[in-house]
Amino acid sequence: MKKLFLTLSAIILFFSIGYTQAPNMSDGHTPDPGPPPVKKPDSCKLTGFRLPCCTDTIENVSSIATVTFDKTPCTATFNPATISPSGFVGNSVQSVTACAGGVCITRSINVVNTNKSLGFTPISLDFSKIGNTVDRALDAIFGSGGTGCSKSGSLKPSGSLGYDWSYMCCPTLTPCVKNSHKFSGSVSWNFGVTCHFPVAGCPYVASLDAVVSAGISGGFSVNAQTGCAATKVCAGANLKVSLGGGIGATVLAGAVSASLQLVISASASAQVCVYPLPVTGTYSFNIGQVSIVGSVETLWGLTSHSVDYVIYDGKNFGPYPF
Amino acid sequence: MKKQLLFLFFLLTAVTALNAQHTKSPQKKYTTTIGPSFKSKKIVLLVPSFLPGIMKDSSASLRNDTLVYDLNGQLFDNGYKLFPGKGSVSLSTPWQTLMEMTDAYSKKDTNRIIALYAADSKEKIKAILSGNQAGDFLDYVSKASHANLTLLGGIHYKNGFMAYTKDDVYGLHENFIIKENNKYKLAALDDKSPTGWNIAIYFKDDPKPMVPLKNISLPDSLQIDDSATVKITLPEAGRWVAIYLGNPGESVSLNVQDNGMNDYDPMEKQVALHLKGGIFIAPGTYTFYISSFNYLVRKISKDFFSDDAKHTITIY
Repeated sequence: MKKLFLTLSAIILFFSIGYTQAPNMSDGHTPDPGPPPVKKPDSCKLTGFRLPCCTDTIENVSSIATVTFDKTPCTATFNPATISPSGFVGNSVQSVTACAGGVCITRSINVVNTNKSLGFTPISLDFSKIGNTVDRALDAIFGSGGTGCSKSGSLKPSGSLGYDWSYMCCPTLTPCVKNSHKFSGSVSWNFGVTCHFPVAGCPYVASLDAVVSAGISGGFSVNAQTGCAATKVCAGANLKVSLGGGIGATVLAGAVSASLQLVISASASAQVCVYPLPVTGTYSFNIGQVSIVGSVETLWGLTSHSVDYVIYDGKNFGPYPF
Repeated sequence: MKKQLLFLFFLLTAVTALNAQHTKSPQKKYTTTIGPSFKSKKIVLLVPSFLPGIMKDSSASLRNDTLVYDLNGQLFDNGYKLFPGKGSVSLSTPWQTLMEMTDAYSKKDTNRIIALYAADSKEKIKAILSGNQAGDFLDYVSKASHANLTLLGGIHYKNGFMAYTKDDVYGLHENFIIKENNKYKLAALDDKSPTGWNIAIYFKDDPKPMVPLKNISLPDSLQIDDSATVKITLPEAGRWVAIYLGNPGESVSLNVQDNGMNDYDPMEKQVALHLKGGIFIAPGTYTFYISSFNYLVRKISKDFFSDDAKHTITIY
């Protein structure tokens, strides 16, 4: 039994040596060293690994990473293979490891969720200055000495306007993660002023009482987000000014009666810049030619006159700062 | 000879008696007065276009800011007083018509008032005198006739004559008169032309040259919501002070009348005004002017800019 085992082992050994050496035996020279060994993928080594400072989208790391090897071609593996903004925080610093040839390098990247609001700050706008300026302008046009003006409404707007702040990724800036302000909302206002002024110009009475009404209405809406570049966020306010009035008077016990209208045109505009804070802006308005048009009768209608005269040639006011 | 003298004496006595009877007639209880002579001639009226109420008028030529009217008419430089009790039956001049009008108005004599109007206007005056407003009308014209009614002048206008009178209570009156059967009669007028209106403003305001006001103690600066009291001495009582910027066509920023609008000093010829920062509308440094006028000025004329009237202020 023992002999049989030894014999089989000798046969197996013989054949195995004969198989591996058989090709070299054909030329009768030194034994052939055989084909070169197959290159294994991990035989190259990672020498460098860089990531952008930040990103604000879901990314395959391989598409944003910069890697270098001691040999090429070569590939690296990344862990994690993808990165994505966190739903819980505005900016998360995530680590990524790249490996090749047994060499691993770890880097970090800011992953920004630009949609993650980190707080809302309301902005209060007060356009009272416009009202005061229009008020003064009316006084200047019609002359002081009137019985005063009554105001209605408010130039403190109704509605809401404000900004959410979040982080944004600005890869070329240092630091690369900055605050971003997303402005949104709309406000509107409606303001009126009615003033009584003595209007001269009728030769048959000292003066007539004119009622002048000015209405200012407007709205302002904004939907803009600040970017990486230093920019202003401005928008034009939809500002409307209306002016009108009348002089309906029967004076001197009816001896003189006037049916006169004030013909006035007016317009206004405003530009509001909500960024950089604090809110700034300018407003301007135009009060066009003011005419008195109508008819005046004297002595209970024995004489009547068609009347059309200009009391003000018009003027642009502003721009004035808020 | 003696008989002839006696005859003459009786004749004169009879005529005097007849005259006396004539003046005592219920239809003619007033004295016929001739009044001022009616001498119409060419007149030129220079009407500043910046007087409040002046309308554009192509019938006048414009010289700078002044309307030049070439008219025919008659002016009374110092006015001619129209006293009640001096009526005229002849109505042979516009002035006699106004004298008759003054007397009829003063007595509220509706028949004589109606008789003063031209045929086309009689229905209108009759309607007024028979309507609800009759009492107000008669009170008004009677009061005016007793209030130092003064004839200023008149112009040939349209198909008639426009005479302007003024009294101490109501101010200016217009009296349109047409010639009808060789008599000057009052008439109604529907006037679409600016000329009569503009001339009326001229008579109402009687514009004289402005007086620049210098040597006034003024603040160098003022907050826009603050005011400073400024005292000014005027050359005459009752004049207006205007504060204005150097922009023709714009409105005067502040008007003050001695013992009137916006004057806080009770003394005549002394004005204390409140200079408000707000009249300058917005902060800035402004050059402005202060001048005195004998009429209310609303609109700034390029004729108003005198270095003597110039001042500077900074508004914060």
